[in-house]
Amino acid sequence: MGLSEILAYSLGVVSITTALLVVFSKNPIHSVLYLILTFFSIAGQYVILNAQFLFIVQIIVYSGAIMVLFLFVLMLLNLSGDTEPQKDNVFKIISVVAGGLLFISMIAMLKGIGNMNLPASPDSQIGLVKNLGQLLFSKYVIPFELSSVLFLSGMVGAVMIGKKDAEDIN
Amino acid sequence: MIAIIILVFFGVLLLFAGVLNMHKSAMPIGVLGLAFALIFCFQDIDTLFLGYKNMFLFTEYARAFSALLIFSTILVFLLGSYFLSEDNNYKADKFALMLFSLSGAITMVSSQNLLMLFLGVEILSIPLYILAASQKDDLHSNEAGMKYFLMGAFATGIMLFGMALIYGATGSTEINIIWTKMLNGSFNTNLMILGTFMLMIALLFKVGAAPFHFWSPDVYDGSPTLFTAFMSTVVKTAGFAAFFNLFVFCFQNIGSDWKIVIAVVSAMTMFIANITAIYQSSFKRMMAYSSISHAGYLLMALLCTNAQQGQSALLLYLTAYCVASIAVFAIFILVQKQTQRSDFDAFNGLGKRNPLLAVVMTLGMLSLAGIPLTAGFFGKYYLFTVAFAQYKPLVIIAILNSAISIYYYFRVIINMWFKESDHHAFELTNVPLYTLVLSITSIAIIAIGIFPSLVIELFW
Repeated sequence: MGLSEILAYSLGVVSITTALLVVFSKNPIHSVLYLILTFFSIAGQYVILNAQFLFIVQIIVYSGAIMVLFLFVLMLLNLSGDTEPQKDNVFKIISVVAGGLLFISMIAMLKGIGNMNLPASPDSQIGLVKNLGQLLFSKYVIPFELSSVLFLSGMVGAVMIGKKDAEDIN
Repeated sequence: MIAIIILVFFGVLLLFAGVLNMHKSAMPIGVLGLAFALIFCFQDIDTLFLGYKNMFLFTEYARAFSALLIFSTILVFLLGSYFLSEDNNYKADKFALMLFSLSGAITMVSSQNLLMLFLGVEILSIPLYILAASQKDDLHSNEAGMKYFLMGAFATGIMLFGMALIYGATGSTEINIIWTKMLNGSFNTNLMILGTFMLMIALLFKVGAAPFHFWSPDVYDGSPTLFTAFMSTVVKTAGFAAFFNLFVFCFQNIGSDWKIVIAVVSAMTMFIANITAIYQSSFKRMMAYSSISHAGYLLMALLCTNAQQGQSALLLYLTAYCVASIAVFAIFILVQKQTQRSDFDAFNGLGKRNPLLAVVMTLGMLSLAGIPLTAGFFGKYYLFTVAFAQYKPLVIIAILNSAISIYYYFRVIINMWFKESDHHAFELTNVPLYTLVLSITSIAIIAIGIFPSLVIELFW
């Protein structure tokens, strides 16, 4: 077992443990902090795969921006363990059954994963910023440009819903 | 692609119109853009983008459904200027968001790549979350937007998971390559099956089929009625066209397991929607359940053995459904806006007060119920023939459900013609643009009802 494999497995253990802690911890603030750890350990996986761009985006966007947003919202709402609404038992049973079914099918899927036909020599340089940029502007230029429509409509919506109406100001 | 570029261009133009406070001219500009896009749907200048055909291809199939999508949106736009007449702040932006949403719908219909399908679904949905919540002072509208957003985000997550698994199984996101790999059998079966099912769940959510339908009554009921009309026509059409494109053209060879699931979901959707619709007292909520039940019938198109036949049936049914829904929603907007009511009793005595409106409403209801000599009948007829070859019990269930649906569709007709109106009821004033929309839709309902081949011959 090489060094990168040991690293990958230990990062995997860390991300699964922290992800479980996100779900199980009573205090929402703790959940958010554990989620930051999860994101960092996933970012570590990206480094092992030599995907530097994804690594830095993961750190900046998820661990940085989104987590700060989460923390702000939680602090503004002043949530804590005892104010959390209790869900009734029927709901709990249904969620356990549904989640369990998904879990079982994932396990069943993983059992036969041995005969995957992966490309013999994957391009290890593909995750570098330069190569990724070239790909984005050649093969994937249409989806790349089209996603601007998505962001534009998102921004329009944020302004439309967030802005005070003219009548309200007066 | 040209159609999408035109739509996005006009969408941005409308945003500028909103900034310059030209809200009155927003609707004509939008309709102009839609008309251009409709013309360019039929032009063959898409050779410009042939270099990207692994992403995107404007086939005959995509052309036909894009034309239907654009046509429905034009009708919704024509209804828009009266519906939004009190909104002086965001009118142009709302039209712009509808155009963006439509461009997403066309992307979905013409995608040749899972990546494009995903982008299309998102571009379709995000403006809709905003439009659903656009009535800011109305709690129901806020609830609708929030619910739609949370559920939609969850469905998107499942869809991406499924796509990732399919990519893992075949090593590509291109539909053509996935198809060839499946023919050769050079893919990982386990990953593929779970990936296909996750993708299917997400798409079933988007078209609002049971058991993933719980969001749709609340969302359809809470959203402003104009956007309910947009959702129940454009979103449903785009969802089913993309569903068919992916599953019938691509996953046909993966075996018949997914077809059994679709058949069960279809039967379940029909029963749940039709039986719940009977108990509704609000007309708008009844229409929401009616649209779920139509999703149930439409799922039968995916069970076809002959793709050519299946796509014709799908196109015909969706055309009939869109035209009839828009006619019904147009009249409902008039009733709701002028009487401020949305229950069945708001229609009492409409036959005496506004006979013409009542006639069109009756026509729309008959078409939705699938009574002969209306468009809906042939839609149902072709759809049932397509599925009849292999799934006879399902067709029998569907016919049974059509009979149930007659109960709640006829309830409106009975209220209009045979019930006395309340003492404070008054004659509705008609709006010229609504007359235009109602005449187009009623002509279409009758024309398709008599010559159903018209729609299909128009495209292939």
